[in-house]
Amino acid sequence: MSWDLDLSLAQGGLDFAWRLQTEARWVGVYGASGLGKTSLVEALLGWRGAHPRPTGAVGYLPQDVLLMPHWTVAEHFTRLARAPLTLPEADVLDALGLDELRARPARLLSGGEARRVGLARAILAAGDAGLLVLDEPLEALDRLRRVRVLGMLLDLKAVRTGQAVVVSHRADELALLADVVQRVQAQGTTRDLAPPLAPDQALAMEGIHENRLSGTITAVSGDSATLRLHAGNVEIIVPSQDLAVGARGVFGLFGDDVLLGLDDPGRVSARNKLAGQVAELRPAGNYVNLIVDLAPGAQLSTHLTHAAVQELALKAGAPVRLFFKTRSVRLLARHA
Amino acid sequence: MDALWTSLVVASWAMAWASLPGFALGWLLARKRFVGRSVVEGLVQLPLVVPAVAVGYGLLWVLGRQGFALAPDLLFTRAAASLASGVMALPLIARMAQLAFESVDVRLEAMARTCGLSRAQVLWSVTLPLARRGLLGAFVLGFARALGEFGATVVVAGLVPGETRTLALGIFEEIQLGNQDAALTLAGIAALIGLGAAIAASLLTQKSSAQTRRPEPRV
Repeated sequence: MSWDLDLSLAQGGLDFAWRLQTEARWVGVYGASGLGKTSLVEALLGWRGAHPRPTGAVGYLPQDVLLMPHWTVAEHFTRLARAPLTLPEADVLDALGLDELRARPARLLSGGEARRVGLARAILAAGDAGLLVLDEPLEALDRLRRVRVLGMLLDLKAVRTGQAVVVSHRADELALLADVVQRVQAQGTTRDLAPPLAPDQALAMEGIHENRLSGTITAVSGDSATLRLHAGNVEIIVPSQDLAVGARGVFGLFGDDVLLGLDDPGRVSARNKLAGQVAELRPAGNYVNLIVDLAPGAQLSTHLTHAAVQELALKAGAPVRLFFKTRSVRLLARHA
Repeated sequence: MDALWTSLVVASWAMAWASLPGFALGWLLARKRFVGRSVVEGLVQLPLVVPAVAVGYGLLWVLGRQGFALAPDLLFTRAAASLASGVMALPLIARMAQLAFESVDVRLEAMARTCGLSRAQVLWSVTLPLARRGLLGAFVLGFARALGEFGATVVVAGLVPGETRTLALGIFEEIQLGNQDAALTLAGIAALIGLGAAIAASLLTQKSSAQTRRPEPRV
């Protein structure tokens, strides 16, 4: 379901007009703290300003969570309206680690626990087709939990048909979850809402280029594991962490961490040595973003200085080799 | 003990009719912004600031033959005493109920609405349970107020033994008759009941404010 939104709000020292027209379903709202990202989504929900409440199912995780203090955790999933959801409820609760909390009264939860309950409530209330609004969904999660929750959210995204808004001050989270990113910038009390960007563009504005590698673990040996990428059947070596054979996940690899050579480098510690062909050179300020084809559908990008590109005489079609350390690959999201 | 029993019956009837309108007024004042809100608020608080005897005299006019003659047969019965003490308790109930409803975070109600509950469901399963202790406190203090009502009651209900001779009226009568011991006993009972109610109401409202947090909406 695409977006066609015309929303304005002037309240509490904030003034913005949000016109959003996009075919994308998952919209990321990105900007520093205190810019009014929360006001923006609450105006969308009809909680502030004059915008009408959305019709149909809505799931909302607000920053202040807003659990009912007199209800148990389970009551938040049973007493509120529920919309049909393809992703099994057990998968949602399991990823969020909520099974053992079901009987606990909400007022006895810690801040982190409450946020996880609030996220589950939003997902279950919105269902497949409803509007899902998540304000900083990964806040207050430890690293391992974050990886599991991100995996679950990606599974959810794969089956959902409805619109979603994810608010975050972290572009790397939105690069995983959002189809487009709406940046919020301040101009006095007015908020500048320029047309949305591709998630990687928003990430690049932070000076970050990260390759995202989706794949399945095919072998584990000690502290390393073999990841077969879903695209092109390319295999790379990643840290095994607690991954078992068959586990599916998304890994991140910063473009800055990928070395490029024309020949085999001989004996080096990097376990990943991949052959490919230069697909494209994209000048990006004082460096070049070089896209390399590893196999049909499988690409990696690396960053080089203009001097390095000249010295190696790199052009589209040139055969190259890419090297990176096992430990440069980090697990971002783990599917159930 | 006759006076105590009469007082309890009169106060119970007073609460039976006055508590729900009191709660409703409290909710209205806590949740709604409407034209004439200050007028409603002023009218509700009127019995608090006008002498009780004057309120009683007003009721006499409304009910009695010399005025609108709405229900002249009601005068000098328990029903009239209940009406008078209920009218005097209503402002207290409404004010305390208003505070109880205001202590419930409106964002919680908005969340319940967004998650698909109807307005009635939100009131029943979110607002009322969270305001419960404050409302109980309002009820207890309102009951105590009705129990101790004198000025308005004496005008519309008089001093009919076994019918309208409540604790407060009994104390007045015993003082008039010079029965110091009887007056002291009744006053002691009235003081004990009042103290108990005040302590209970205070405990109830304290816990209610600790239980419901009101996070500030972030901008």
